[in-house]
Amino acid sequence: MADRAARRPPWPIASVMNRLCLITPVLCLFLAAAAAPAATVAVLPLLDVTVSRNGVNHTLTGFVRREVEQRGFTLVPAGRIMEFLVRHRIRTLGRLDSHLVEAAGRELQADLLLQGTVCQLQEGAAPAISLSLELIRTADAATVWANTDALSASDLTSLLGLEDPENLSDLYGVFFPRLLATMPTRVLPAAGEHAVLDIDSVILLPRHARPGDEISCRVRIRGMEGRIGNLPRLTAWVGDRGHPLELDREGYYLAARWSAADEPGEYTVSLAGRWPSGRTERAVIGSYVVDDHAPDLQLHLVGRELDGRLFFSDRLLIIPTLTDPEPVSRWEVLVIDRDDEVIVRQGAAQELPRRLTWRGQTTLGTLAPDGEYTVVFRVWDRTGLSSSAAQDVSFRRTPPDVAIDLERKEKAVTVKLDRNSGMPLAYWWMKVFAPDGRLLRLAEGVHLPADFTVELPEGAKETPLAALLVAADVLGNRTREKIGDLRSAAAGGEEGEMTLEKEWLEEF
Amino acid sequence: MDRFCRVWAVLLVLLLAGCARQVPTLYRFADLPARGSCRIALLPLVDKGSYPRGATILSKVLRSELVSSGHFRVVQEGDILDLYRQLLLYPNRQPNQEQLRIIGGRLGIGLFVGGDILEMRQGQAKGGIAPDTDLTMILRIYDGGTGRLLWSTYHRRQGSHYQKVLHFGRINTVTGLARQMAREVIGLWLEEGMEPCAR
Repeated sequence: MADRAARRPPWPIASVMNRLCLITPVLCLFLAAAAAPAATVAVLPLLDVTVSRNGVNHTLTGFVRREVEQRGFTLVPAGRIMEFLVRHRIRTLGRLDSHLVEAAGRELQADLLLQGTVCQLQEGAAPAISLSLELIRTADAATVWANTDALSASDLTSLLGLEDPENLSDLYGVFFPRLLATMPTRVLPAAGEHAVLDIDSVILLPRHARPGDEISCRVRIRGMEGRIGNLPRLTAWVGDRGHPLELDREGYYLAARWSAADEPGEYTVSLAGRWPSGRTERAVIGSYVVDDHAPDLQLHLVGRELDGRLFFSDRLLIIPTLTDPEPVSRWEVLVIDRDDEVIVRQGAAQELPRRLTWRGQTTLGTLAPDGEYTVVFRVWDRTGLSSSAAQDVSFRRTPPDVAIDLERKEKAVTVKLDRNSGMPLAYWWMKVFAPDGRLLRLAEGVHLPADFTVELPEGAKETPLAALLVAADVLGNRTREKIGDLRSAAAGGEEGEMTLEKEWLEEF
Repeated sequence: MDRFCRVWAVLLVLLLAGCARQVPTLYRFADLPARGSCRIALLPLVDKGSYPRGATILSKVLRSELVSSGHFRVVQEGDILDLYRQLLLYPNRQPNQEQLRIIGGRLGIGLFVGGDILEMRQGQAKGGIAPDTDLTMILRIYDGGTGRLLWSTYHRRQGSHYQKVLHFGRINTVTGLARQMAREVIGLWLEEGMEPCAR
């Protein structure tokens, strides 16, 4: 060690000068920084979502302003901030866009902008407060600091419960210094701007086109009025084809038109801007779809199929499907009778329904007569190309017509049932009841004609024997016939008149 | 004895599995783009919960946590909402892939962060004791260039989960819980390979 010290050269003047040269700039920088004026901060009124979507909390804004001022920042007067908000018609706080942030920087001569949101503010048994703050550098609209903090009275509860906070005001003294504790006292200047086209709006129409359709693209650049003559040269690029944008007649949009390609597919449109300085930027602004074929529609009707024909009596399910599913712009369903008259027309400008139900009624609400009909379903895709599908169906609402022939014998009545025409039967049954309500005879079957005999009970020669006949066809149409007295009906008497039941009455 | 050991082994596995559910669960659908995570846009969240303005609160919290992590440049919320207006999108609806592509192209975004609040709840305070808080959310990361879903993270916690001794450690506000959970999710993303901005 002693040897090394002995070898160390004495401090020559040049070495001292070198060190001074190094220390001096550092000192200068330090002094300059210390002497630099404090950054100006515009503290916007806090958005208060505990009140409403657009609520404002001026009281808590005051607390934040005080705290920011204590940290050595220069504040923009609240009155000037309010004038700025009014001038720019800012109706929702807490979410200014980059252009408004930059405008605030220019108009309020603010280096930084502080915006925030009151997320929670609870009075009562367990007071609580939570705030979110965001410090934005106005030069490049970059968020340089953000913090969210929450404090509940329960967070400050001590073991002995001494001097515990009881209301919101008790929390403020702890909360605001804590919330802003990490806020930087000095913010670095903007490093460099992120190059983006300053687009205000884009109108690219149509979104779905057929080959050869005209595509219109209109772009508006922010603050275009004041920049006429100094606007970038804009070109809309679709693949490797460029379409230069020109100022339209009204001077409001930069517009271009071109024809959609013949090849179906999705085409992305990007906008390239070239400034007089030579700087170029590019951004995707939208896309459109070229479609050259109509949707492939399939129609499925759900009813009862008999001998290759489709029947229904109560309701017919109409299920349209697309073989290659795609969004549709509108659809229409028609029911056409044999005279080519449209009795039902229904449609909507929306997605294809999963299923529709036709209950045999016309569009006017009346019941359609039994007969043959054609259901036509038509669909249009987003380019206006349409396709349709049709299927025949038979509507049968009339219940089975069963003829009852009664023949009186000495101790019995023979019942003969027959039917003329119509749909095949699903079942039939006939019950004959004794005067005391006991079931005397039950006959049932699937096919008609049929006959059976009802033995008359002994000792009750002239007491009435009620009967009920029910027959249903395969479509569910049902006939119910009630015979007041089977015996007299067989004899052709008045009491035995047959009546058609409208309601189900097992006990009669 | 064998059976006894087996039962204990199953119980141990169940116990460990129960503990494992405490962290956010990350589902990967695709890799994050290399060096594309720096500039982030936070999409308005879809609120399926019942807490008043829950989506706004979580959105503010998430935004502030992304910024304060010091790893990302977060695009202004107003710029995103401005493009929502131009694209005729409701803020409570998730944009489709093409709309995300347009927003990403216009703002030069590397990644989108969006998601759903499935449950956000804060009970009623009883006798000066802060109510329990509950938050369930799904946060998703989309590619800023293509709009494709890359990662999805499910996270569910209650304020009482953080309680240590007596009432200490317990999170008593829904915003505080949201902040803690957002930190956990962002921490997980960084751990799993989400690249921060170059310093």
